[in-house]
Amino acid sequence: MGNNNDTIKNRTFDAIVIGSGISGGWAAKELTEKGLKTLVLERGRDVKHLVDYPTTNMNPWEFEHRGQMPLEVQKENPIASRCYIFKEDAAHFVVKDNEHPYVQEKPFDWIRGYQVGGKSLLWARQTQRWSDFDFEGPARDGFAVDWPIRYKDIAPWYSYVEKFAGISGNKDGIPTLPDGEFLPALELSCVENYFKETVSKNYNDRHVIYARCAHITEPQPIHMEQGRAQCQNRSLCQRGCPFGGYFSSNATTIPWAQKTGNMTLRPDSVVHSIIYDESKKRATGVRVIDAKTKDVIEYYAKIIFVNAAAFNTTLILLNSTSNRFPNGLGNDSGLLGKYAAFHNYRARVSGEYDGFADKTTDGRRPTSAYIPRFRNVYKQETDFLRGYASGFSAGRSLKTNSEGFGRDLKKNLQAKDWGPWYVGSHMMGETIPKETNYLSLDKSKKDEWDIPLLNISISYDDNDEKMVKDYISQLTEMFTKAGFTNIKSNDSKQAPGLDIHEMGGARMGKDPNTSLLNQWNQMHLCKNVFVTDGACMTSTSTQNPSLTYMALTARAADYAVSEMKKGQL
Amino acid sequence: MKITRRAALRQCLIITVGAALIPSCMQDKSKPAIALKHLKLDGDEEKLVTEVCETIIPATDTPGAKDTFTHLFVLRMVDDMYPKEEQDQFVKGMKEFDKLSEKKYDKSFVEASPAQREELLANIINNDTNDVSADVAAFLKTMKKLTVQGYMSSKYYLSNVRVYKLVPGKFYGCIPVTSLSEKGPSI
Ligand SMILES: Cc1cc2nc3c(=O)[nH]c(=O)nc-3n(C[C@H](O)[C@H](O)[C@H](O)COP(=O)(O)OP(=O)(O)OC[C@H]3O[C@@H](n4cnc5c(N)ncnc54)[C@H](O)[C@@H]3O)c2cc1C
Repeated sequence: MGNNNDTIKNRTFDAIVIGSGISGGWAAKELTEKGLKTLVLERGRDVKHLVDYPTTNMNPWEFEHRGQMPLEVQKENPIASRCYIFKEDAAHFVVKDNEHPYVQEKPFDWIRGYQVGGKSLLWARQTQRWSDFDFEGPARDGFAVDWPIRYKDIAPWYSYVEKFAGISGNKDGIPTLPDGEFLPALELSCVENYFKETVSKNYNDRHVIYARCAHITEPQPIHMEQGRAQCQNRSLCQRGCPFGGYFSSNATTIPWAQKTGNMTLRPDSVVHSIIYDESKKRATGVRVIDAKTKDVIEYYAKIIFVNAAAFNTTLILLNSTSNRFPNGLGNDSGLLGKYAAFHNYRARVSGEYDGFADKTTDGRRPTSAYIPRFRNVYKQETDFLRGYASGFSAGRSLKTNSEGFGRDLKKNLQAKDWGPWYVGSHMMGETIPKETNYLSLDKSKKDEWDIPLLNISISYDDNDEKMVKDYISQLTEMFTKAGFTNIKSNDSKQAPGLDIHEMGGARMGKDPNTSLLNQWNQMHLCKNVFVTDGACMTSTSTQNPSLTYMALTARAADYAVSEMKKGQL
Repeated sequence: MKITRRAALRQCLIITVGAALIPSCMQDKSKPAIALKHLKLDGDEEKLVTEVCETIIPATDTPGAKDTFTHLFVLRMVDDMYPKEEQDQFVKGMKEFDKLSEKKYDKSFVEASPAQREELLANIINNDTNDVSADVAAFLKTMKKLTVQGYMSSKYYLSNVRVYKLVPGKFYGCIPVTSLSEKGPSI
């Protein structure tokens, strides 16, 4: 037992942050900047910016299998292999199936990154704000519970995190997708601009815009202070960026927190549960299993931020049982783990365009265009609730002609004939959180660290099926009107999960009987515990959620520290 | 393009990462040059694969399959990316293919002249493949696919034909095709 080795004092901090990914990194930055001695507990290994990016400067031909994962590895990791990120250049940042099993009561591809930085190293960096069309959704359409916040509550915090993270975008003036603090946008391609024009000509309420993304297109002093430089459009982000050109915890929040001198980062620390003290009516600390030695160590703090990513956060809370909370921390309502949801990424529509034959793009671009949600925005107009946003991109490349063999083949492979423009889009559908989509603990099965396995029971419903059909028909119509040809659509029927936007489990709400967290992401029934990752989400919107986790985290940290100063916590 | 021995060795090392033995890529013996996990090929068979690669993409005034280490890539991929049944069929097809050469020229494929090799492949690839077995057809199909893939992702190709830039810098969304240099777009 490690507890004997050091005194309780050495294991006591002002704040504990569980997880060092996108949300945990922000919690660490905010709390340490405000002067709190903060312990960051991360279950995975350390990944230091610049130092621990082994593939970052490799050329394509230097990869043994030119990127592909060997068949044996694919067979051992069927879940990870279904995610596009699981390639030779970044697989070392992706959790392997057999190392961290979970139970799939229904099929769910749970993609995880267990290391300092979490999934922030791997993410696609899309950062669209939510609006009141999202926050008012449940109340208007009668599902889940009403969000306890509105856009005005979070808007200044969006600005706050955007300025620090560095978000590239255009001010588009679209009510469903509020503008933010933007660095310059990268260029759209000819055909993306053309599509933008035809769509706005053909539809009043549909827009094609440049997708906002967490890339430094023009470094500001705040970014240079972080040691980050301009994005060079390598589009190799998942390897870790030598320029710090995109937002990751590793390049941004973690080193910033480190610089305050107030952070203690402890990798290889698996949080088992949160310790609740019945007499004090608060959480006093956390129980950690050392990932390597399996020693059990307790750490103590006045406040605890839970940022292990939505489903692991829910797991920790469910596993934090006590006399007072036999069903998990703060879980008198029995709702902990319920109303889990995700984004529906099943469908794609693609095509070709014969125009702009004398034009092309040159170079790479780490983002694309975006079509904000246009369905059921101002009123209910379809036979399904809510709607979908879409990614959109149009690019062009040289044709590959591999006919023949010998000298002919070689000549064919060296030819430089242009192919048509290819256009493609994918859906990002809002799903409706339901009681029947839930997470629970399978107490009969435990992992290496003696923690019960998470059981995931999540599936699509009729609303999702209808939405897939509508997306395909609407995008096909928009493509057709633009004169695109060879239009094809595809419903991958993939299980939920590959969106990697899992949310819910400990939702926010106004009433302790119907929610776990209040408007400050504070547990209704255990006030010194804050949950600011995806677990807190009451509904899912269509927009990529991580920017919202950042903003909620900074907001909650500000609240927590001011409450502490007032002696309220 | 000239490939220095040092560059060759470096490439060789990259391809055999994880191999327990020092690779013998640069040697010309009847021992395998590359450590494989599943495929059991002797040095001659490995040479056969190498020469089939080279016949598919021969060195001309520009590098061919061997110069670009495409043969090593092909072996590595067959070894690591194909299920056992397909690997067995590959080996079977390969052996049978060599017999076709013996039958036609009284020489193994490796011993045959480049012209003969080309002729043999041309007959099979270009003409109707009905007269070769499914195994030979599968062997050649895999060889062609992987040789093309290996060549197109080789250092030579991505530095000289379609230029890959590790750090591309500015992205241009809409420029005249004619404004690109002779090398075409950077990828
Ligand atoms: C390929 C890919 C593309 C994506 N694209 C986008 C996008 O474009 N836009 C967007 O908004 N989102 C995107 N996401 C999702 C985004 O990465 C997540 O929403 C975000 O990382 C969540 O932040 P987090 O802090 O909640 O979790 P994470 O970043 O996953 O961090 C959680 C951390 O907690 C640690 N942890 C877990 N359990 C424990 C425990 N018991 N004890 C201690 N530590 C623990 C983990 O090891 C991890 O480091 C993408 C994700 C992936 C993988």
